[in-house]
Amino acid sequence: MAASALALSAMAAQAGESHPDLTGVWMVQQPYYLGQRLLPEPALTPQAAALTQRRREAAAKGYVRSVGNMLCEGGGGPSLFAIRSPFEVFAGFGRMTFIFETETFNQPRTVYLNETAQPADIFPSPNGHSIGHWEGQTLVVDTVAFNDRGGFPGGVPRSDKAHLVERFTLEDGGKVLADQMTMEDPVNLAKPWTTTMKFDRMADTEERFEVTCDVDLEALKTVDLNAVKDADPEAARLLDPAKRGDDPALKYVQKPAP
Amino acid sequence: MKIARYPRVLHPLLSASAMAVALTASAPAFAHHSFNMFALDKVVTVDGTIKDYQFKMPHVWFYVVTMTKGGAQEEWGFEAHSPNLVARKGWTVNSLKPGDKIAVTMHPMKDGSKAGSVVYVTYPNGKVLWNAQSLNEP
Repeated sequence: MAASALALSAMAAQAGESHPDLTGVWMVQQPYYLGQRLLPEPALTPQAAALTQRRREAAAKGYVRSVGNMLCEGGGGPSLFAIRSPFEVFAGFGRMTFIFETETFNQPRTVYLNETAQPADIFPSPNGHSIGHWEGQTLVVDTVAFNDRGGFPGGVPRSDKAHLVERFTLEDGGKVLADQMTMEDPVNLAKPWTTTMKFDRMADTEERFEVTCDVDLEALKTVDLNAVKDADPEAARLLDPAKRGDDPALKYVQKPAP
Repeated sequence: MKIARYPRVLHPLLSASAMAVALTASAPAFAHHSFNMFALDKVVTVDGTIKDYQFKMPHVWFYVVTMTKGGAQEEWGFEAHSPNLVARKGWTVNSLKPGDKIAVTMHPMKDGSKAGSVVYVTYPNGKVLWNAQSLNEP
């Protein structure tokens, strides 16, 4: 009996009962979406600094809404954390799932708690592939296999070589979720960048909104893609038939209008 | 605190009860598009009657008929944040109806167009609906 009680208690510990409960509805704290910089400032590579400068120049000329935004294309994590909309965290059957209430990107982000190493072959994706484990009261999450279309928080470019390590903790009696992110990216960051974002717990009664996004073709018509392609990688992508999302089947089935 | 004043371009359009309010400059979140078109350092209140209310993604818009000092009618468009964000400030799909008399406190367009970014809406009974945007929001 004693042995089986011990086994049960070990299983309970493994199931996460002794760990902080990160599930709930969370809203990013104000400073991050009101234009305050995440500190310390990231050290950008010359390439990323040049892109940032070209973005600034394009914005000064009036290019203030990106092509991706017009086409409802969000970049995925971890920049999603900086968007002022709630996200929900669910946990069960060996994973933790983040569901963001963001109209331009609302694919769930899955953190696999039952995988001890990153798989060898991973399809790159906006959120990347995340595995997590508990170190005491801290959930440590390792993410690789991002695609090349997203961003770090604060408008910092992110490449498909990015590596993210997060340390999630609860503060203030569980009212605040802290995410200490350490970001590495040989393309965009001259050295690893560590910063912390915090989120306030919303009531469990908070309902989720379905936020949809309509493609704005009228806005797209006003954009000279060639003029902004060096400032907006998504504009460059639209100009490149090999990269944009054209369906190869169309050239076989779609006939020109008579 | 920065004391807002009437933008020159709006003078002839404002009703007699239009007033300037004092607020620190707010910086709306980058939700679906930039707010660069609004003069965020200016805060103006106009009175009027709701003509149409669109509680829709990506941003809530409503249209208000105002009376100029000369007695002519003007139609203004006002933008608030996404439905999911303003809902957490108490807005619903039924918050405004055609015919409702309201006052809109807003950041006007830089170019003088008859549109603005909502700071808050005030009902005749004093109830206030805040847009989800300001450091000063309650």
